[in-house]
Amino acid sequence: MFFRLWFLSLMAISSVNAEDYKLVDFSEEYSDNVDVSGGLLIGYQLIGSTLTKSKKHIYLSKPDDVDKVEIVISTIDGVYSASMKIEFIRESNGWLPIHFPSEHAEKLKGYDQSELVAYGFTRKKDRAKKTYLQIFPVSWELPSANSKLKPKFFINSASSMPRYNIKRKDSFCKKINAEVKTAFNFYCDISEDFPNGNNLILFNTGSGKKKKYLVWN
Amino acid sequence: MIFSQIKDSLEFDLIPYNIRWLVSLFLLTTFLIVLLLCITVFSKFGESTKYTTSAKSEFFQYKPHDKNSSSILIKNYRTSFDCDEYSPQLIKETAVLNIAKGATLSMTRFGNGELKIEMLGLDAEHSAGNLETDYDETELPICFSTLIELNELNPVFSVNIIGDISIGLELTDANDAYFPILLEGEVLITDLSLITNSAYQLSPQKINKGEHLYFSENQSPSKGLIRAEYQSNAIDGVIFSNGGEVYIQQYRTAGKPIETSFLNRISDDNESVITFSILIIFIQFISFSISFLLRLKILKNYTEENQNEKAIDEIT
Repeated sequence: MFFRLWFLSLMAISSVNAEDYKLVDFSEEYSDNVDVSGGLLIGYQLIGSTLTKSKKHIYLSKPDDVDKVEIVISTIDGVYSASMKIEFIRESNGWLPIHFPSEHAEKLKGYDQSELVAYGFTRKKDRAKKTYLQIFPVSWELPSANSKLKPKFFINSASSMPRYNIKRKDSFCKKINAEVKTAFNFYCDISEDFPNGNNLILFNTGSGKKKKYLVWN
Repeated sequence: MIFSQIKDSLEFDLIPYNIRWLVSLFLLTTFLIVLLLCITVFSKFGESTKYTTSAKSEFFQYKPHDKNSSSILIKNYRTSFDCDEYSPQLIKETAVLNIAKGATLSMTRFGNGELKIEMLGLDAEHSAGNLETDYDETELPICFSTLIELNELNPVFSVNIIGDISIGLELTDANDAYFPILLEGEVLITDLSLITNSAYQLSPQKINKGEHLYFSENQSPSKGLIRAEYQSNAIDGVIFSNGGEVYIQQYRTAGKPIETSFLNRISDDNESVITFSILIIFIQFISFSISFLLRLKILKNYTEENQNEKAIDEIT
């Protein structure tokens, strides 16, 4: 996992520029009553130890064959929410810097990486024609071998003990310690043996209710 | 230097000798009232403050401070050793649940029938506790859950708790399930009175539906009794805590500690009310005395001046 991050960051420096993609749609809202993302999974992001004040770029890693990606960004207090649709013009790989054209960048400076979380995804259909999301990792800083970033899920659950399951191994999520939790209230540390490639992740939030995502890593 | 300047500017020398001590007493009493008022205004709930929280809630959570927490007696229950699927068999015999240090225990009950207890160990390496039955003692995995069925034959579930306690869940915009919420409650606050440090009770603080109540972390463990009855809904709880602060959190807002205005503090503390009343009446009495004695003095001076003028007139 960490070797892959380092390798991808090297590739990112050499192979990516702003013309690799075009921004198809961008919408954002900043107010006390933002309608936050309605799903269970609110973020899949690499989190560093330092506060990144500049939120000009968000770095995305994706498989080569995916050319349409949506990125949803939320603040933990539910005050801000943004949605971006991106189309990649040519095949790109590595950590791709996506310009974050927010008008509220100044207001978002005060948010820690773990309070302003994002997830990149593309919509897919399974054999039963049900829609599911393939999730890609994002980060507010360019991942490198020295940045010691750790991948985390951020979820919003009414359960008191949500957990996720990868390859039949259960891991419990932990409560976020913040003053106001509206958009998400739990984070899930991902173990270091999280396999590369596509992983089927099952979130279990109690009462037998399970939600699945395909997480690319 | 400054004191003498103030003294000169106030012209205390003009005040007759027999009234000066009354003026001093007036100033002293005024100072005392201002001092007491300042103490009341700026005093906060402290280590001596006791909170008694009574609540009816669909959700209680607690984390014992040490492994000597009270065991939990269960009967008429189903178990889940992975917090997912429950055993189909309803076990009618009694059993005892012991909570491990660092584990978190959650109790949820929406309607009349089932009470769910979930125990989560500190981390993947730690057990949530153990389960003692008549036949054996089983060490629990990191997560253990039991569904207790309350009915006419098993109408009550009760447990004593001691540790970090919270009531109701903090409401977020999650849409994976319905939040178990706090239905109603109130917090009775007992503090020490201003004068004799004896206990007095402030007006109870009401807790509204959907609010989340929790206690500050750096305080002695809260103690309480949790009870669920077949004929009622949700779970009833009484929690006692000393010192620290009690926080109430509403949807999309930060938790705020329970506070009281200084007017409430004065009006609820009968000792303060009586002390302030006596001091104010005393001030009024002194003011009247000063005024009366000054009038007498003025009258006396006036009579003497008249007599002197008459005497001068008679001589001339």
